[in-house]
Amino acid sequence: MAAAAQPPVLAESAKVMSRPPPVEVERSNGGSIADTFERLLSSELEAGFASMQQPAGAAIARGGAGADLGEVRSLFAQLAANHVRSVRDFVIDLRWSDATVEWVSICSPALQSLRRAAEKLELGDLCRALDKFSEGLLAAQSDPGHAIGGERRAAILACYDELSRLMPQAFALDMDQTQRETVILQSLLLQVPDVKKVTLDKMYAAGLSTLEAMLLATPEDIAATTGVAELTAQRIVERFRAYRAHVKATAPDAARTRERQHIADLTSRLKREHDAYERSSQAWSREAAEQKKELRKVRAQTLLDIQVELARLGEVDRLNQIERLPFEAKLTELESFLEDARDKYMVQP
Amino acid sequence: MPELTADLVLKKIKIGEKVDRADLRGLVLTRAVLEGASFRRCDLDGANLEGARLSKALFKNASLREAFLAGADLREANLESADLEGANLLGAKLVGANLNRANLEGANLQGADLSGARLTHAQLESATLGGARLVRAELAHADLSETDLSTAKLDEADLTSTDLSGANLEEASLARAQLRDAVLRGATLIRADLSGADLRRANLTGARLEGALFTGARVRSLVGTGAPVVGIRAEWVDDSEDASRAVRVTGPQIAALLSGMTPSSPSHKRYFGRGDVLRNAHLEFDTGAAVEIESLFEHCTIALGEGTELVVGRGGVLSGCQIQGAGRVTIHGKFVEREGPGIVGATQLVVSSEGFLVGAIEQAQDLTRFAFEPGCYLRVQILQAKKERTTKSGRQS
Repeated sequence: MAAAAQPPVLAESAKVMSRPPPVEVERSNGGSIADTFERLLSSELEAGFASMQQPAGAAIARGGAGADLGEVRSLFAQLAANHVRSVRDFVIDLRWSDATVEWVSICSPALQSLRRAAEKLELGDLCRALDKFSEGLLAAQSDPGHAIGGERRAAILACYDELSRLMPQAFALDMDQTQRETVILQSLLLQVPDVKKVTLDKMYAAGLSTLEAMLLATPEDIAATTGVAELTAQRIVERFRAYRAHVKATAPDAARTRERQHIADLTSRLKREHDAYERSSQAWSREAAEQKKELRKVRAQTLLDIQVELARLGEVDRLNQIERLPFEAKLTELESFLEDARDKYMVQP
Repeated sequence: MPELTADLVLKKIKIGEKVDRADLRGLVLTRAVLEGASFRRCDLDGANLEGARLSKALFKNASLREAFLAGADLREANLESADLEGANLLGAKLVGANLNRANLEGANLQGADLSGARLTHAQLESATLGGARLVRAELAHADLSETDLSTAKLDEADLTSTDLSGANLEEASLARAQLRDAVLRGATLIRADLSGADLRRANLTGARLEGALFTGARVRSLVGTGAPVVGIRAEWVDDSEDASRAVRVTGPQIAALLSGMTPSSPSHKRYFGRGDVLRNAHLEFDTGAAVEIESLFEHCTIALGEGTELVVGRGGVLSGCQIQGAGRVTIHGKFVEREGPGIVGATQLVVSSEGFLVGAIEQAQDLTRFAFEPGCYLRVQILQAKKERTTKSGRQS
């Protein structure tokens, strides 16, 4: 069997090696994972990890050495998880049938550096899976059309499934995707007039609980399966189609510039609406009361728009934080997110 | 910045000290144990009390605007006259709580349990109460306008004189609820359960009642929807002044009564029972009469006075007949014309889900109001009133 197909093994000498020093995961955001692992594999830990680069079969891992290898891999997966965030974003979009070819150039640098690091750690299976996935992406780039669909989409997703199997810590999407999807789905539905708890319950009970299902559904399907009024079903479909058109029109880039700009615009709008709401709250006239009622709805709609955008970026934890805050603090938190996002979504070298 | 830290608040409460009138804005006390604590007149705007144990706590006159109280246990808490505008009480337990005169405008109470809570004169405008439990809650004189109460449980709740204008009560359960003098203008009551509810003098103008259950509801002096009511479910309703069930209204009269488009007690009633067959007859019914046909009529002419109610019951078959005059016609059975138009000048025509109508309808001078329930069988040609047709074509007289 070829050495690359085997999991890397540790030499006897590695048994006495101390734990690898902690690596600052945050600092790796903008750097290369290969560099980080190169550091781990050279200078200070040279002696301990040198054996990892020996051909398979040179030594057999036993006892504590095996545990150390596990730690290294776990650390690698931890770093990789952060590093391939854009790849996960891409695949989530692809699963929702929304991905465009711009994603290829966004994902490629992260995939290449991960590939280099995997090679140094002699993770042969991972290297092959990464190669296959990257080949699929490059092929998609040369396909006619802007969106990635059909067989190409299916092939890329199949390659990705293999990556998830090999390194679930970095590539598994289930939790991430479900959390994002739940927020997006509910926020879009609640933006439709007349959609309240009854409709939400009926939609979910009928299995219309994924974005993919909603993007494919027709008003007739929704009305027939849920029993909601045809007009409401029509409005739901229109809302999801508008969302899809918006996503497609927002060509992604590595720094998620357009998404961040959209959130910034929405935050400014929310601030204006909130200020107007506060002014109406101070007044005592009947007109002011009516205006306040209207502004409450308007403000809620904008907040739902923001929720959709943040969920698309995978900022579900941030959303949970924001939900618990009063409106004024929500705005502050959103502004602080926009500040943080400038560094977080910095383009990887 | 709050006047006291969370730790200090917890310490004070632990030794039984009150924290009344304190400035506690934005304080985070998630899942804190604060049972029976006194926060009277405190400023807790924007505080986070998620999952906190606050049963029997005192919040009288406290300000909790935009506070986050999701999942909090507030059973039997005193929140009288508290300001909870925009607060999030998702799934909170408020069983037996005192919320009289509290301000809950725009608050989120989805899935909250308010069974037996007191909310008289409370302000709940635009609040979200979808799926909330309000069984036997006291809500008299509360402002519930534009609230979302879809699928909420309001059985035996006291909603006397409440303002439910524009409220969404879709699939809500209001069995035996008190809704006397309530304003339900423009409310949605689709598939709501109002069995045994007291709706005397309630205002239902513009309300949507499709699929709602009204059996045993007390309906005396209510203001109807102002539009034909179709698809309601009711075996009988009580039209007595004192809700004694002495005056039971059944059949299509119920829909007419809820629509407010017919007097509740017609002066003359005529019933043609099952098994009877009438052929080639000419029948005339005076203004205000009520006629129900469960028989087989063949080649008959039926003349209706103004406002006369004609109901073709489920067993009724009118074959080759003609109905004339400014009456209101409801078809649960079958009507098949021989020569058109089969119905001439009716002011209202309702065909229920089991109804079967084949024929031409010549509308009344002021146009006929139509209501066709899903499931009915129709093969219909609708014509303008004769005079109109004469004017347009200049030929037919």
